[in-house]
Amino acid sequence: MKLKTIKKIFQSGLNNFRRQGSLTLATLFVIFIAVILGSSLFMFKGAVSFLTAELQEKVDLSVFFKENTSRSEIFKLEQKLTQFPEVKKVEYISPETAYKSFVETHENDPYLKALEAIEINPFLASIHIQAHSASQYGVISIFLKQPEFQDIIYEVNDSKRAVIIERLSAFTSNVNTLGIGLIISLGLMAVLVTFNTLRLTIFSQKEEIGIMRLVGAKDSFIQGPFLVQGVLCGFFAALLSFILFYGTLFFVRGQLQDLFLGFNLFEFFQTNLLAIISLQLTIGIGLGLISSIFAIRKYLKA
Amino acid sequence: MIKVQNTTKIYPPNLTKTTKIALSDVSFEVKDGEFLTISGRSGAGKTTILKIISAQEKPTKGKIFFDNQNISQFKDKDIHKLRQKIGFIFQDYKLLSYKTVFENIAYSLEVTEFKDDLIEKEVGEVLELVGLENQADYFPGELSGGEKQRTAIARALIHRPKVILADEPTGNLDPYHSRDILKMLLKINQLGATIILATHSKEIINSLQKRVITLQDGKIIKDEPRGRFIL
Ligand SMILES: Nc1ncnc2c1ncn2[C@@H]1O[C@H](COP(=O)(O)OP(=O)(O)OP(=O)(O)O)[C@@H](O)[C@H]1O
Ligand SMILES: [Mg+2]
Repeated sequence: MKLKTIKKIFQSGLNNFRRQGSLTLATLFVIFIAVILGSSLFMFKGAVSFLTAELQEKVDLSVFFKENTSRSEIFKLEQKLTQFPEVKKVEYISPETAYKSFVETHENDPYLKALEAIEINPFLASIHIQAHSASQYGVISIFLKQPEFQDIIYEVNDSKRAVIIERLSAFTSNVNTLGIGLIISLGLMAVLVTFNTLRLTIFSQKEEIGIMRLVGAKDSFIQGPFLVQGVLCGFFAALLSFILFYGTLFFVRGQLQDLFLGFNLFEFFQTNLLAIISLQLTIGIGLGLISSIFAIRKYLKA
Repeated sequence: MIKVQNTTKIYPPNLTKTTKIALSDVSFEVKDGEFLTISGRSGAGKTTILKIISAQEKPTKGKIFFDNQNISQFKDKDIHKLRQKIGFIFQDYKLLSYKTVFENIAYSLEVTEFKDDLIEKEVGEVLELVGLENQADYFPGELSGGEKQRTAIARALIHRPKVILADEPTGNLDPYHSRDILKMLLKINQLGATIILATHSKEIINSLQKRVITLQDGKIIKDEPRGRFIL
């Protein structure tokens, strides 16, 4: 095909885009919704994986040892724990390290004065255990409750955490079910709305395509402007939704951080800017192309 | 040359209660440069003949030749080659509603990958010929019936087709504009185009003094070289 013909086709597609106001608006709107849904899901997934990682990072199990427990006894327990497939990391904290970090974190604090006053180190040796996921702490704390360890263990502080851990694993699985449910229902909605708009589009173009064939246009010549029109709709839908996301997140970035337990959606948006832009353009232009192909295919075989 | 051989058209192709024989065993030839009028009452089959010649409808029986080519042998994707040799004028204009007058006319040239600067010039000339030079940027929705019809005629002429099929081109026009359009068709005919005009207007047929085929219930009842309105 000649360059001139391509220019013609592009010009004609642009004209259709501008002149077929209501059609353009309807198509643009549907694609816009789909792009919004797609990017929301992307951000939602980002938020969920951030939260899960964050919470799992924060949860650990601390085992405090009785005052006279030797380092080698603790080491033996550590060895046993690291054999567990559930255990990701075991960290030993000596009384001295505990003291130092207390001093560091409590500078200018009245507690520190009190500590200095008693002139002994009141901290116990401890190990901090991290599992791969929140639901795995149960197994570990059952293991630690065995009688053979009760001589050396002063306290396993899962008493409060157990509840949190349980809640957390419930929350994580809820979030996953919710995510899957959301994906399915939003996806279904997008497909339904797109399909219905397309049916309208197809119907309104039937007559025009018939005339074009009648005056001797070949199929590729008819198809071209429609594809251009579809791509333009998709491009503008992507652009609009990008502006909407950027604007909204920018203005509510403060409130969002509280709502998402410290997850900064705006920051996430900014660091994943390229991925989000490509996602939006792909969804937008992809749907625009598919919709225009569907809209005319039927009438090109007359 | 166009040859219609023993052609029958039944709507729809399978037998139902509403089955209609639109054409029954019709045969005739149209020579290059001829001006043929097809006459007949409403429902006689005039439009059906034009549709079959331009491959918009397939004949149920029979063969149609366009320049010795059997048009039923055209593949779907090659139909545009046949259509580019024909200029169409319809009673309901069939203009592209999202294109201006200029673009509607230029479209007939664009489909043949005509040169751009020539398109400007040729469309300008034809617009003048049909008296629409001031409405070039109007959309069909902004035109009167007569102006739409003149746009359609300009589109049918612009690519200098061998054949012009005109279906009731004056049906929506006042006598003044009707005469204008007939004059235009005669002029194009003198320049060498074959014209097939379908009409049920007594005045037009009697004033043209050209060959007339008269149809009744899908059959040719008369085919005269200098025909008159007989119904
Ligand atoms: N698509 C169709 N489906 C079924 N019947 C049809 C179809 N097109 C035409 N017919 C029938 O075929 C017959 C011939 O129709 P045609 O349009 O050729 O008539 P015509 O001579 O052009 O009439 P008019 O002067 O009213 O335009 C009519 O009885 C019509 O009802
Ligand atoms: Mg008719």
